[in-house]
Amino acid sequence: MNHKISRRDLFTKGAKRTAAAGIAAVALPQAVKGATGSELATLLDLRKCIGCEACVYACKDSNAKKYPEPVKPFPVMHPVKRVKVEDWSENRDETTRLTPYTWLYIQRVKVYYNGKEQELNIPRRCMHCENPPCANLCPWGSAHKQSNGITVIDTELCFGGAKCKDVCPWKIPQRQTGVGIYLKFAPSLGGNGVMYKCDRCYDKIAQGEIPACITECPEGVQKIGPREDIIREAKAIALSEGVYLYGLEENGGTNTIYISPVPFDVIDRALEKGDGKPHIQPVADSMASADLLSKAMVIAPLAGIAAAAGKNFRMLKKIFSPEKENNE
Amino acid sequence: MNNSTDKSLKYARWIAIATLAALAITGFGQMPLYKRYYVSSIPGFRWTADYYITHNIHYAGAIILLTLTAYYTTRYFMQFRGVYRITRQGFGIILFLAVIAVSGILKVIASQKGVYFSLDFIFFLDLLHIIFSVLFLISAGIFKIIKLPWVERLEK
Repeated sequence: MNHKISRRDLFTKGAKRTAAAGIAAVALPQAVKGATGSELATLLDLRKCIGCEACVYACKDSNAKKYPEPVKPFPVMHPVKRVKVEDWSENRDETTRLTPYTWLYIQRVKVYYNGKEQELNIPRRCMHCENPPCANLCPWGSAHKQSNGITVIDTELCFGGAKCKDVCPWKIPQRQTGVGIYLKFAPSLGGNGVMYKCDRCYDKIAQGEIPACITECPEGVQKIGPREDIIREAKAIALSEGVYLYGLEENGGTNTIYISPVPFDVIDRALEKGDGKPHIQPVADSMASADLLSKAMVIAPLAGIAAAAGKNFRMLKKIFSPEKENNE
Repeated sequence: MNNSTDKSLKYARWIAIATLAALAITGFGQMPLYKRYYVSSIPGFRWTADYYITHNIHYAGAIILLTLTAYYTTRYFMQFRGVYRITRQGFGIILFLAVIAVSGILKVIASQKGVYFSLDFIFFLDLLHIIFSVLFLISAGIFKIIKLPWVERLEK
């Protein structure tokens, strides 16, 4: 996507957003959508996936309009040794890993389980966590979670600092240098492009359509629905068919659930992992300690008020105690 | 006001300064700067490149500051109002801190499971939090240099 944003545009946009948000802030209850609206989740049955990559190309076709069109030559970024150019624009057809132009790829793995060799094909993309650290920790809010459970990176606001990738347990977002808002500020000193990842065709979903990777799959590997329904179905299949689930508890719960005939620790051991090639290990809730601290934040002011009231009460008691009166 | 109260205020002042410094360091650490600019390469500063550590320290600092603020605000209204007076620049600082605190608290709420704020509102909160933090640091620095107190002791 070739965003031609001038600095003026940014400030105009910023001012509009600020004004809009200011109005939204007044009507805060309307701006906050609670857990009443159900999040959408996907269920991927790995037993059905033949690795044909129809989903990969459907994703590419459907999202081509969102892909980066970097400006070259890239600005020299300092310190040169620490800030590396990440350019995938000459290698857009890469499908063996995640890139800014490949938001979904098939991980192929051969595993030995129960005495026999099995081949599995695993469509990999953003897990769309229930409590996504990429969105919670993004310094500009460019990665954000929608009420339907989709985590989207706003490419117009992203500076490409890759914090979302650093905090993602699967290191999913991928960076393209030479594109985005950082070019309008101090490209040598801050930012390094824009981060890209699966946005689960949020624009299609907003129109009531189904994501391209789901509609184009000839084997019906993936299905999408309200999270509660998907979880209920996944658990029922696991129970009745003795298969394994991944994504249910990972990182505090995700909106992508995999069904596999082979335990995921066996798959992970055989998996080719690395940059753009995520693992499939158990993941603890990344936001657990922050959530605990945020609960303490609610108690903190109350504790302060109580301590101050107690202190004053003790002082008043001392002043008006009978001993004091007798002494006086 | 007795000596022990003055002493407690002195300790509270230093705790607040240390907490604000920690909040500023960890707050700016939310931007990917410390690794890029080798701060995390300084011995003992490796933690500055870990976003989860800086984020949790930021939250812990906010807890301390909220507790102190609630404690001394309550005591001010119950006990100190006749002893200390908040100066004009003090009110400015309170305004900056209030905006930082409110935007920060809303950001904390936004990062809870099952809570959804619009992108525009989150962007607005981020902008407010950063702009007012910078304004606070600059104004607090200037007031310190030109020796303008935030509070004054009233004449007896």
